[in-house]
Amino acid sequence: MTAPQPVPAPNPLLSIRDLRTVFPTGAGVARAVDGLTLGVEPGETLGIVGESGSGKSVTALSILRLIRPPGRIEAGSSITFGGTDLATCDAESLRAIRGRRIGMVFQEPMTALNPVFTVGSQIAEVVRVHERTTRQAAWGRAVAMLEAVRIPASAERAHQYPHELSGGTRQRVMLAMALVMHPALLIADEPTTALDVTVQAQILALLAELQQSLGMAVLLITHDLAIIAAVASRVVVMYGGQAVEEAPVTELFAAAHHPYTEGLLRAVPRPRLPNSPAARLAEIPGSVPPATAWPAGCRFHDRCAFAWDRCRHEMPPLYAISATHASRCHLAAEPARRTAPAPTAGTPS
Amino acid sequence: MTAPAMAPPPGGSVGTGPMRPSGDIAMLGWSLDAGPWPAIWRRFRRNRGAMAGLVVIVAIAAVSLGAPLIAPYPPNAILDMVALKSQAPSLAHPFGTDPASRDVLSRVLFGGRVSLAIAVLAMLTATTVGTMYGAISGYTGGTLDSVLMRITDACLSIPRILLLLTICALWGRASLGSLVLILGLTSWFGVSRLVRGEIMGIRTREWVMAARALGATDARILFRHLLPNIASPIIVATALGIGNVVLLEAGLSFLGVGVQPPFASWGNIMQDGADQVRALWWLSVFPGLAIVSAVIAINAVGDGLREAADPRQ
Amino acid sequence: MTTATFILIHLAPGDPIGGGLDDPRVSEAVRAHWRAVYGLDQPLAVQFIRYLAGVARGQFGYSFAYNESVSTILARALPRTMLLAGSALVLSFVAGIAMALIQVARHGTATDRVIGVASLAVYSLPEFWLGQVALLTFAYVLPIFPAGGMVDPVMHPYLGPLAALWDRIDHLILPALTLSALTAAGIARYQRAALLDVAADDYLRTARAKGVPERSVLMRHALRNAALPVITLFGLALPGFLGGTVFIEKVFSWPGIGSLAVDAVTARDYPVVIACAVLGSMLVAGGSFLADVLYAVADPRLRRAPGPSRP
Repeated sequence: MTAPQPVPAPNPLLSIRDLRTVFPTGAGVARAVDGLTLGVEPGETLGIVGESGSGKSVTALSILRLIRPPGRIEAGSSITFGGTDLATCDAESLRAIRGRRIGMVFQEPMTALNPVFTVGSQIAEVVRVHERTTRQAAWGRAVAMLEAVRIPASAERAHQYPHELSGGTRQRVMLAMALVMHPALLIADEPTTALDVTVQAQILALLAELQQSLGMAVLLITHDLAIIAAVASRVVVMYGGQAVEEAPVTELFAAAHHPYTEGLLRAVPRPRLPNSPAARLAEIPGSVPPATAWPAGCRFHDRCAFAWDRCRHEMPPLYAISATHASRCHLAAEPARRTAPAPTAGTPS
Repeated sequence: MTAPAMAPPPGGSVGTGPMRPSGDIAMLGWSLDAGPWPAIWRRFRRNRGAMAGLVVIVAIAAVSLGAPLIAPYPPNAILDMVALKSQAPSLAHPFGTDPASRDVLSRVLFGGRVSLAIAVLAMLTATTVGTMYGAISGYTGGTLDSVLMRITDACLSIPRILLLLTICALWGRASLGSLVLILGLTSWFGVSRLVRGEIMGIRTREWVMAARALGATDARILFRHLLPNIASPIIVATALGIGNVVLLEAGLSFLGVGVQPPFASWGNIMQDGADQVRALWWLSVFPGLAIVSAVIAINAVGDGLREAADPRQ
Repeated sequence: MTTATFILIHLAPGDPIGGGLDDPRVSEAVRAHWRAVYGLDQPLAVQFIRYLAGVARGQFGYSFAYNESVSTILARALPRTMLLAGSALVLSFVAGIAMALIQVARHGTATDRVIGVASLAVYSLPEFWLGQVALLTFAYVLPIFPAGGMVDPVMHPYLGPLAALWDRIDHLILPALTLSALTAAGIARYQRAALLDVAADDYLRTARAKGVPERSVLMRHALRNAALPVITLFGLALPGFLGGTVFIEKVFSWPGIGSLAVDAVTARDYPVVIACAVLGSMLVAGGSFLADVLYAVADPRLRRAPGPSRP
């Protein structure tokens, strides 16, 4: 029950071990991702959820080594994908994987698309940098892909520039660009945050459908638990640059263990059924501390209602709650404390 | 003056605005030992390139001013039309002599006075005109502003040297005074655009409104409240403009329409050898080096001032 | 511009007809005759309207020094200036952009700094001095190039077509290189700043995530976006560039508009001086227009969408 070991991954497609990504800043070194370990199985959808500043986006960028200098991945981190360590491999091997084996979709499709090229040429470019093929063949693949992401009149749309398209269509273009090489893994970093709610649902449905037909794994990064509930099969909750809880999605929503996850779940507004009690929408007190100065001990302790002395001095390991569920909280070792929250704790400084 | 919106503007002395007793020049905010200037000087001093430029330009100005004491010969002394005509550099004449047997070193030293004096005076003229023009345009706004700015745009689009050639040609043999005027009156367009932009940026601030509410006249607001606040960009533009005018004057004199004999300037010394660059290379190289070092030094000082005045960049 | 020069010419001391007729020995009758010939006896307003009408038809009046119509003289000099200025412009953009690309690819290294300092130094040089030094160095000390002129004054008429072409190119290289050196330095400084400006843009990260090689990220994705401010620079720098052409033509005895203007000033040949200034402004206006067109071509956001466009 209390064995401090991460959940073992049977046959991972992507395996991140002890990832540490740091950014030197004027105020000191920001340890944005600080010892993250996770695995993605072939064909599954793993969600990473957390507030802004938790390190989830930096994790996504680190996988394809897209961290902008002076930010860097510290030595000792490993990101294994198909037998290659992406954290240390040479630039050419990495380039061959980017866009071909791992596709990526970003949050803001307006700025992520190059404004001076047609969307067709931006999709065709992916084909052209990974395959020896003719211009026409690559263009044909681009148009076919635009069709696959349900853009009507795709042959004409391919000739348009990003600014001529709506936000939802732009995100479909981003998807087409990420999927045109039929990658084994798609990393989607807040893919619907910039979109209207109805468009959001369409994009998520499309994503799920394409995942089925292409048989790829998806690493979905979001701050929105509702999206996780809708599409993910497994969830990693991040806080302070670390994974604080990891579980299958049903288990997480049914029986979250970490107080931070509980807080997140309570903060989600949900439609009330006629016979359910009126639940007040709760918020987690305080905010994510700066990555240059994580608190000692448990990084969540000064926002946690249960925190006691041990939490302030000893960083909790990932405790295994079950075979597939782990939590970075000392409550796993001292469950009795959950019933009696310490009256002095919980007030943020 | 308690609300953050009423925080004093960077100009310092005007921050206390209408409450301050009036009368002296420091009142105008142009005083150098108040306001932002000590801080600017501190940042400027840390900039090694700018300090080197300052040393060079002070040295050039000093030897030019001291030319009558330093120069071995008077600038127009014809030494010996037969024996000392077009001599290559030697110990007696380190920069050689020109076809009229005049000592080039002495002419370069005296020429520095003319070239630098013209540049400084012309740029002061340009700054004055440009500041007035831009301030009126920016403060008034509306149709007048767009008409005035259309005019400066048109002037900016004429190749400067062709405009100057035309004016000089029509003017005939320009005296030093007219040359200052000609150069000054064709160099203010950039300054006026700058001043207009800066005035537009601050004319609706709260402390301007406060001054107006207390009954200050437009002229008083413009000269006492607005202009002192944009003194540093104006001074930076002036410094950079001086280097540009040194080049313009040298170019005109080189083409024979700028500084006229008997005065020597760096440009017209070069003109004396322009037809025989190969035979009389020293007539090009030495005055040219003087121009280049002066201009690079002035630009380094100007850049240094800009960085010191606006640390964000 | 036309108006300004016309006003200037009449504000200036003396008669625009120039030195020759001011001679007191010329009788008043002769003077009046020539004034009538050139229309100078008409009221100013009439003169001005005639002058404007002439400019509109491409006629700038008559040169007293050349005894030819100014249009003829301009028509002869303009193609020469276009050849020199055009090749220098192309050279300076190619060289300036290449320098900036090297600097950005090696950002923060010694290469970046050396090119930066060199371009700043060249940027502060006066054109005529750089021209003279180039002439001294590469035509006299190391006689690689001919010392000015547009063709070999003696041999050119006797050369075969290929040799004659080479003769022209040979005479073009040094002045074009010198003229482009200054502009290239300015372009390099500007292009480097523009490239560093877009370096943080999201679409470059997208390109990298697609597996685009770093070289294409810089040369294709970044450069195409960073070209926009440089096209603006092209319009803004044109007046200065034409000014530089005047000096380079003078120093290298290149018989174009610049040399023509300078000689006309010396000869007090006002119609030619003014025509050169007007032509220069027209070239600048044409260049700015070209820059606007180029900008619209390079930036699809300014183009009208062919299909149904959305905001």
